[in-house]
Amino acid sequence: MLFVLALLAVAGALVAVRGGRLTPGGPGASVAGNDVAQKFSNVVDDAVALSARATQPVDKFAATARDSIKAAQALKQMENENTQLRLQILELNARVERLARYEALLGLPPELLATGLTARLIGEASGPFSAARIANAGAEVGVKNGFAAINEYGLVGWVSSVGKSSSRVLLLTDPNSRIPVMGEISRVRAIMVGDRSAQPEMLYMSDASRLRPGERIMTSGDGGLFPRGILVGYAVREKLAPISMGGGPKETDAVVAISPVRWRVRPAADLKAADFVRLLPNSEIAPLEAGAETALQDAAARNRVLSRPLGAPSIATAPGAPPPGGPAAAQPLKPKPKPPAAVTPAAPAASAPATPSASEGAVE
Amino acid sequence: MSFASTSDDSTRFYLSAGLVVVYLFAQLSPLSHLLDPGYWPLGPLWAAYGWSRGGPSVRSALVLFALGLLQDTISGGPLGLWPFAYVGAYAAAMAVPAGLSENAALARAIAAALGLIACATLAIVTASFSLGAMPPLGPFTVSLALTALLTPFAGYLFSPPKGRDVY
Repeated sequence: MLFVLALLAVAGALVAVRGGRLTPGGPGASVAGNDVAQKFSNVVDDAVALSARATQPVDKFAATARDSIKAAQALKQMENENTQLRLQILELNARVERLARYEALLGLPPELLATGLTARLIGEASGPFSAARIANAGAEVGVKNGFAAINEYGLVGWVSSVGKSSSRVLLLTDPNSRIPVMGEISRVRAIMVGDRSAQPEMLYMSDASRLRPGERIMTSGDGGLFPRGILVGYAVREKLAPISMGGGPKETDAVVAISPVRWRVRPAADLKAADFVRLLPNSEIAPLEAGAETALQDAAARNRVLSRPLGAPSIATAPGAPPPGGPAAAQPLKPKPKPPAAVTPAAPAASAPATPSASEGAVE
Repeated sequence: MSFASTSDDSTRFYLSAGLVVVYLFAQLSPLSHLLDPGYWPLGPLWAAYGWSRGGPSVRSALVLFALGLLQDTISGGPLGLWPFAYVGAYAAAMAVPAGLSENAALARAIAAALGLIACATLAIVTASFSLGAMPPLGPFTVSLALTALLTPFAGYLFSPPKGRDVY
């Protein structure tokens, strides 16, 4: 309807203008024709505006209906995604449990699953030569020295001292901070050292030429200080002033200019804005002599302790509680069937308890 | 060496020391969100300068040492850095030549400058030993500059009453 009225208005205007031009009466007649055309155009405009106002509620209703349909579709899509994610979580949990069983069967020393606990950074404790924050979780909830502090974006720092109900988190930028890191793609290893600037420096790099600007820098897990693979930041190449070398008294002597490069890390987490952090335990590896099953149970118990919500009453494993990892973990591992012992002079050694070989288990 | 001669002096001394303690603890308050405590002026340095005007005092040196330890603990810096720097600044601020004591304004300016230089030098040297490398000087420079700017005003709070200062 609007379209028809608009067409009529355009046609009327065209006719009026054309009529004015073709009127054989000179300029006066043309002016009269234009007046008529103008009046006609005004009438048509009023009609169009009136009809638009009249159809406004209908348009609004139509828009609302369209939005509702879209929202319903989006909701349906999210429900589907949620269902898939829940299935994936179930599958992942099953895989974690299976992995733990495999590690136990193979005698692999299990690495702790870094679950950790959540704390809030409640204060600043910095000085000209230090950069640290205070977290509201301490020894009474299981925090220990060396725990890594991460937030949703990446590594923030690590716990340098622990009190009863608070702890000090040394930021990445603290001059005392030394963190083993590596490039995600190049696997270049380095030690990230804070210098109170916004971007800590990378020192002792294994092969700096392979690193690329913008490459993601992650914790390498070397030394067991941090869990491996935590995002730290992004590599930044900083060009230093060139150094001239060579050049003798003669003009022909070559002058070699070396442009040294310094690599820094732009932290992925905004250290100034960090408030809630996750405190993760060290990536400890259980000793081989302890036995895989014991180590697995210890690790699971510790993970469960660290997964407790902040402020829970006790960190000790309650006696009589179901074993961590479910009932399956409580069952003792069945020893592997012994191969038929060969009759050799070394038979007494071969008759040692059939524990999985440490060397076999340690080789990847 | 002399201990405080009057009870008024002692009251003034302990009040000013308490003021520094409050100032140091303020670095743990939400005020730290306004300005990184690494850039805050060095409050105990004002005390070192002000107390140095009353002449040598074991009590002042001991309190400065304690204030330095408190700052070490609060800021998480290398332990011993600030006590060393503040006691050194206190000693340096008293090393104004006796001949200058007649020109009080010049003597005070030189005392403040000597204290600042001694504090900066000792802090940097101690931090270098602790960190194993040259410490970052950016925040420290800002902190020293702010301390120097505010010394004429803040130092007054710690100065002895008129007639009891040595210059």
